[in-house]
Amino acid sequence: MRYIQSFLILTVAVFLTAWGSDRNQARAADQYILGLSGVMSGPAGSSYLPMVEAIRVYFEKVNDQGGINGRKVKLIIRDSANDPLRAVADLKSFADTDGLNAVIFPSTSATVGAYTKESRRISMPTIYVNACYPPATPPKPNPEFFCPGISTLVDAFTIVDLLFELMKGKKITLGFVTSDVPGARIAAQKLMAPYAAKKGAKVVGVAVAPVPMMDLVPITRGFKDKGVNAIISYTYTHHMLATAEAVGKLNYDVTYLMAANIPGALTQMAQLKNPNIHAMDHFSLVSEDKPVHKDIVAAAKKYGYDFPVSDIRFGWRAAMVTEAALKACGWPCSREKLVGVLNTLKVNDPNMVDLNGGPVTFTKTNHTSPSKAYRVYSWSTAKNALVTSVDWFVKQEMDWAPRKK
Amino acid sequence: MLADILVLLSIYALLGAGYVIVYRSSRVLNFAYPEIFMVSAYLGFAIVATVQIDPHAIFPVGFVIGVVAGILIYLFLMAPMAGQPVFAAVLVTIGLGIILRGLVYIEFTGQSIFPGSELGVDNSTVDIFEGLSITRYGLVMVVASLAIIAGLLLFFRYSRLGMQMRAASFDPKLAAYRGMNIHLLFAIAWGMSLGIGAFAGGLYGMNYQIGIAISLVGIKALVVALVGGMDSLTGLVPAALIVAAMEILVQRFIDPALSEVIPFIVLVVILLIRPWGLLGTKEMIDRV
Repeated sequence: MRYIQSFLILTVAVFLTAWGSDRNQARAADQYILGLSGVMSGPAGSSYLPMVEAIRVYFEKVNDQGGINGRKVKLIIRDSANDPLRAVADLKSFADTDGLNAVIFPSTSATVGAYTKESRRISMPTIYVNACYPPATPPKPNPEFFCPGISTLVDAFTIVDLLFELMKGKKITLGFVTSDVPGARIAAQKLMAPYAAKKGAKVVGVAVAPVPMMDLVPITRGFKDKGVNAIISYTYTHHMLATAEAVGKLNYDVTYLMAANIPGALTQMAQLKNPNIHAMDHFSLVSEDKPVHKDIVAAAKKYGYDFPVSDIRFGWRAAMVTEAALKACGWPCSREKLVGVLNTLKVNDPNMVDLNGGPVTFTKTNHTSPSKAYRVYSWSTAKNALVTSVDWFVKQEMDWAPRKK
Repeated sequence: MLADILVLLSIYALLGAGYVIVYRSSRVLNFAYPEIFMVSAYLGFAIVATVQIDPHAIFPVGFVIGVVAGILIYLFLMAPMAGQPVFAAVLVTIGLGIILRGLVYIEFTGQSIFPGSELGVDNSTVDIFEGLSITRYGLVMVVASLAIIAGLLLFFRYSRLGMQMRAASFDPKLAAYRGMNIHLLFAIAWGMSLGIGAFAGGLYGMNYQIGIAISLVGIKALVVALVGGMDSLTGLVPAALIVAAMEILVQRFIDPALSEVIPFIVLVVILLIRPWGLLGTKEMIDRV
């Protein structure tokens, strides 16, 4: 009798498992599935978690509005903790997920090498959410790796151009603040400083702050004592923001230009209310109140975006590009078909143009946008708000091949 | 530059005092101290920002968090280690530090916070005299550091409780035979130490920023305590002065990238010459 009971229980369990699995597959078969491997913890987590959250919020909104091509989007989120091995493990697990269309990858450059080696091998369409590096950059990008984001190479030259725009006609005595990490240090020492000198600025020095350094007052004070009237910083968040703080603390009359593509930059500018602090940005301000901004504000509120709303923009753009690609891919959308779509994708709807300053375009030889639009935001004491001090300033993406040598 | 040295000296001396108090009482090097400094800064800010009270409440709030945490850590982690080798207790503090760091990642994602800006407090520079301008919270740091170290020296030298704590640290068994509650005395020492560390965390956050990396300031303060002598409060001031001055001078005149290693170079040099530190007691050195 006991054997019969056990047999019956086992049969029912097997049946239920099979039935559940069938139902899951049925569900998987009628929805788009996206994997997301992001840096959500660890020291870099504070920069990337706002992007991950932005993407989550975006697709919750899309699903509530009926999905893409009438189908919902399922987003599977995994934390890589900035560990290349975990990023690759996430990718392998996504590759084994039935019906998965693409991977969104908000992650640091430290994970890109290991990830792209594997993504190329298995041809996984990937939207990289960060500053664009090879293998997304021209002239020979990996066929399946795309980056709607900014370009560190173009940014390095543009931030210098924008400083000259800000200080039109003034003689510039310039200092750079960077961090002791190869990318930022080389950009400041080998690209920005020589370019600024070539344009006529007197470059006093490049101060390289060790990563753990939290107090940038001594470095800033050193520039002040040397008569520096302009400082550029394009590096880690805490160093750029600490320099902004130091400028305020020292009542330093200087033109300080930092990059605002990092979470927290615009928020802090609004807190410091210092007209000497300027930020180079790649997006319009959420406060401009165009339809895309209204969308962002409403979604952030409805789906619980816990960061300052201006931090949503980077992830939002990547999600818009992903949605456009899936829409163009139609249904069913195989990974192979999606790669083909991405290689000729142009997202130029008004929402993208209003947010990004221009369309996002991918071609076979360039998986970042060929042109990048920049703005500079500054604090206006008169208006008690952030204002645009240099409006859309467009630069073309550069050929990265000579830089790799 | 003098202002930068003074402010850095103050935070090192303040945090160094926390190490010395615990070491003097229980011979334990508290390796969780840098993380406690960091965690209390985050917690103090989170409480002040959430409850929306006066931003300056971050100091008493931090202090109370520190005192309570110190007493609890002693009662639940250190007291049970009584009778065990000292290095076992030291290992416990290392483990505690790692746990606290992990919790900060989980709760705050290691995000950098600028409490001064976020809470809207004025931290502009004040001119003390010609050529010396210092931020408001930098000045508070200098004054608080001087007051706390002077207060501790007086407390240990003249107060009944201070004398009991010294006696208990010198010979716990004898102190216990004489009727002193040594666990209570050690718990008070841990509470004082962590209270100071948490207070310093709030001050540091208001003057600079709060982030995971501020725990490195706590590690450099350990260097200051070792250079001054682990059992010497008076040694903290010259040690902090040497380390802070070297760090700022290198930052200013050689290369900022080198400044973070300077304290450790100073430590190696001093340990080679005087392993017990500038004003430490030779007999008090334990070799692990």
